[in-house]
Amino acid sequence: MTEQRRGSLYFYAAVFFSLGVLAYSAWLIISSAASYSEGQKENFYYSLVLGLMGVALSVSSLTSIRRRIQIIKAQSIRTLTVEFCEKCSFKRVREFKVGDYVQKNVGKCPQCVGDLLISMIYSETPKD
Amino acid sequence: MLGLTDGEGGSVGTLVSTLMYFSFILFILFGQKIQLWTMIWNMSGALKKLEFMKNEAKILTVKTIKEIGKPKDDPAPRLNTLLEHFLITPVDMDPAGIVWKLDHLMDVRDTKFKDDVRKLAPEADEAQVNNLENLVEGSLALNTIYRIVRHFYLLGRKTQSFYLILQLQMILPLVMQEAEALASATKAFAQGQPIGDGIGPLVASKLMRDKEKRKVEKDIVVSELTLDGRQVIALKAEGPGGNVGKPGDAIRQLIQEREGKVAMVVMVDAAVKFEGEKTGEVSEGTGAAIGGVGTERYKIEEEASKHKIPVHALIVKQSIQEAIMPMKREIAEAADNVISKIKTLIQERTREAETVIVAGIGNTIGIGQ
Repeated sequence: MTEQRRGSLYFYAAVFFSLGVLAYSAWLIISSAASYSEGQKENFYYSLVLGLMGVALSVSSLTSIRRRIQIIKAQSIRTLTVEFCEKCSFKRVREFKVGDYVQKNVGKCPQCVGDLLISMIYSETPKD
Repeated sequence: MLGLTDGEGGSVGTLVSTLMYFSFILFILFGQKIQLWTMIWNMSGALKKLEFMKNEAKILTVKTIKEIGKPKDDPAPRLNTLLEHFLITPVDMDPAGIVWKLDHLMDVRDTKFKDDVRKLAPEADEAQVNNLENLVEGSLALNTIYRIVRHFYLLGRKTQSFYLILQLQMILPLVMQEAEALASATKAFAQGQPIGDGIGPLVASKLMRDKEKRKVEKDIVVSELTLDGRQVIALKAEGPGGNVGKPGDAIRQLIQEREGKVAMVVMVDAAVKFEGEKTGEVSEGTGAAIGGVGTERYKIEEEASKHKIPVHALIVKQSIQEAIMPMKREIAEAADNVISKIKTLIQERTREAETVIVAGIGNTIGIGQ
């Protein structure tokens, strides 16, 4: 749990840092335009190069963070168990529990008192 | 501002051009070395990730063994020995009879593995022993991948060989994909969840529902049913523990019991899809659809060709990763589609009262009968 909290702290820190760098770089590019109009060529070059580099680095960092989030999302799969009654087609979907297996008799059907069997166990990735 | 200027931006231009010349020369002289360092750096990250996955799998294995098997001693030392287990394949200079030698070796390995797992988890029942065996196999595979990647990484770093590192770098994305799938599979094995490879047993279990079952060759269960006037013999590995059984031996036994009077064998298995293909798509083909080292396929092909029995294959497409990960919904839902294709195949290719064998091939973890 503490490791998870530490992980999310790093994640937020990385996002805020990248956004900060992006904002500062954007401001540098804007100020380079002002330097150009004032004739300060040295400042113009300096701000422009630094600003462009900052934008490139922060965009790359944000993209890789986004990719990581997608990978983590894909890994956090949930497994569902489908209980089905062949007699009356009653169907119930619930979270998988250890001990569940396909064809396991899980008791009586609440509708027709027929046999309720596990017909399917499958995993799903959470939707975006 | 930079403290280097004396003209109107002229010195900045000089500085930039000097830097460009310098970096040009640097890349000409040390380009390959820089690339090598970058690759080694990337690989060290991948190796750390692999080490994490291997350790996590081992921790999960020990935890599950303790929970299920309730051993009196610490299972870690014996588990460490199991994780280093290897198989020496038979010599193939004279390949005659190699199938039976390999089959024997696989049997010995399987028995030893199962016995060792049973000793590790004395209170586990048969299905749990099978699940634990799968779990240990998953950890062993992750451990082996880690050791091989580490070997080439260290060798490349020691020799500073660009081509050695390059080879590993080229296959690393695929290796990482497989390792991630194995890490996911270990969680499924620990909880006894069905995996993508279980689609064959899932189809067979649907056919076998409410029918009388009997055990035949090693860990295989068989049921007889009637489908459109044909006698269908459905078979699968005995579940719900993680098990693949020996379907080759079972099919051979069933054909011999009927003195070769079998009209058709239909094999249902998971198969690797190409990128761009949809998971859960069903394809029809000819031949024995069964993976592994090839011994089971050999037995089926031998017996079928001896009695001139046509062998048809129905495969459910999935990626290598999906085959060992918890079964996806698209794969589970393909089971009914497969059954309707079996019915069509039987109607079109056989006559009434004839016998058809339907074999559900794959790991039956989380699937009963």
